[in-house]
Amino acid sequence: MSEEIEIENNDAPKRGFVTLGINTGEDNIRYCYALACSIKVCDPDASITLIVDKGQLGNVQSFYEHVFDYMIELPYGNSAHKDGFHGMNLWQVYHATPYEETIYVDYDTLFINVDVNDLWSVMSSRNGISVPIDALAYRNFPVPKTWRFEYETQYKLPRYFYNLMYFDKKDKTVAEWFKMADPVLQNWRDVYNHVFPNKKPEYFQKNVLGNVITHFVDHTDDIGVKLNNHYDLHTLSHGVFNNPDEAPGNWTDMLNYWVTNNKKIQIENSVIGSGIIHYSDETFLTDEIVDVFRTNLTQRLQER
Amino acid sequence: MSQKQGNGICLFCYNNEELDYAKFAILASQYAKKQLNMPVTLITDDGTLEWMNTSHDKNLIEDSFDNIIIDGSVTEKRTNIRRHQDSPWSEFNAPFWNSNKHTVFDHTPYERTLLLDTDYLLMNDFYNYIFETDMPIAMHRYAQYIGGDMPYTNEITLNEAGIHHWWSTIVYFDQSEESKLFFDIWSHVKDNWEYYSLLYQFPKMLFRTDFCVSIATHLMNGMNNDDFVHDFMAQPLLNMDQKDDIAQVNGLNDVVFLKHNRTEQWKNILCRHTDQNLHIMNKRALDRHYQTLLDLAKEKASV
Repeated sequence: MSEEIEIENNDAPKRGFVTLGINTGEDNIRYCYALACSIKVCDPDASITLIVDKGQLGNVQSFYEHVFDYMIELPYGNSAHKDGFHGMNLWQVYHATPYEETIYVDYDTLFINVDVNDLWSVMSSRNGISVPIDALAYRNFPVPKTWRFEYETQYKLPRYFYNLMYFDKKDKTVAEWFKMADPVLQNWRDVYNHVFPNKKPEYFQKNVLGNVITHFVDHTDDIGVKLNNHYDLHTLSHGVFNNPDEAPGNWTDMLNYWVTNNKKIQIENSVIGSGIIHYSDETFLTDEIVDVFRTNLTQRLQER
Repeated sequence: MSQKQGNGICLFCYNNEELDYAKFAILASQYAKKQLNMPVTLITDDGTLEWMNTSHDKNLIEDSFDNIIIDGSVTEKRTNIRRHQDSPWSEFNAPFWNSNKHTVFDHTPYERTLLLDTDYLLMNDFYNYIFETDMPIAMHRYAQYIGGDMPYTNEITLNEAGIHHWWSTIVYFDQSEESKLFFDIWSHVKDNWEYYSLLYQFPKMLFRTDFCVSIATHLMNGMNNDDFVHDFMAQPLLNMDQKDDIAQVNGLNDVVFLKHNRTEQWKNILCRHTDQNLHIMNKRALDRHYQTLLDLAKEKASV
């Protein structure tokens, strides 16, 4: 277990968004940048913090900086430096966040026409910690949970989404959850062997481990919230690939998609006009799409 | 201002050499009138009407239809051959004339209309509520087959990655701008069928009004599966497969089916449905039980 290190930042607003951007061989901050632009298009006053690897603050390219209110280093360094599964650092977000109330967002997410005030109000409505209980796929169909949560279903674990997490640092439940997250995420192979005696995931899966943590701390009934604009575009969420074993690694290999200048995402014949969109496929975010959100943010700020 | 008045039901009916749709229209009208107590308008062509007048009692026709509108445009233009089944072991081909179904918006004499297919028998008054709402358009988004079977894949979405399938078996509409737009899109899709079959990735060989309404609904729902078009409170349409048969008609709203097993087609399952609206897709089965069903409808009416 790591020692507690509290980061004091009295100037920080009470509420804000946090995302993780760990650069290794390639530029991963661009995903966080697109995410931050998309949040600020929805709410220019939203506070956004980028968390980077220890000692890497100086390596964030300067043209990304304008969209982040804070840039902070992981307090305990990149615990995924061997494996490259950067989601493993989720446990450190609790220690790194400068806010009292935080919404953690996965880097491969975009906000489109989201009422940010409403999001805060829904996510903070239940407890000190909350995650979405369900999600929609690109055709507005509910995500088929049997496929998306194959292991959770088999082992009767909670079936929640951890790409979006609200937590209030003052709440005891939150401390419990992140305290459990520390050993579970850092020792995920041992946890797999312990929790999944038969079929187990072949690699690190943050979402599966999030559900394991929730199960371990016995908060299954306390943390789920219903969001009607949460999209999960994971390959197994679309309801398109009938055999999960034959599903492509990247859904963008099989489905056509476009992002229009007014930020609407069209996949095949279906348009997503608003929502929190976890696209779950890095190849989705082309430079043109980053430009769309950068341009929209510039226009939004000029309009103010 | 619209000159149309009140509430009513419309049916399209075009006979071909294989199927006597006039019989089905009489049956559908008798059941609809009984359940909803509304006037019925038949839209047909000269040939079908002539056949109906020679093969059915005049009083029965007058009792079944309050108005008859002649529109012969469809049968002259195109042949739309459809393969029908009568059990898993018997099949036949018949032309299917449905390309003018969207013209019901102009043909209907009613302000609020329920358009029914002639193979749809109303056995309860579920649709009454829709006439009391402000909904401009309504159709079934979901369906199931007798015995609780799921619809086939291409009846859920137009292709594996495609848009949601909606059913044109029952279309409720008023005379609003929204409804007009809906029927205009339907007409546009029909006129550009090949283009839309490529865009929405469905087979172009058979013209299907279900696909037209699915595209129109998709566009009016903001190009996604949303709620602008009402879906009859998510109630599923109850279909009897063409491979199923009617085993027995117990009573006016009580039918026993011989349902085929999809994976082992030689196996049959008896299942009974009471007081449920039924989409009898096996037309030959409907034809075989026509007289019993009609007698029951007439018998109760006379009581």
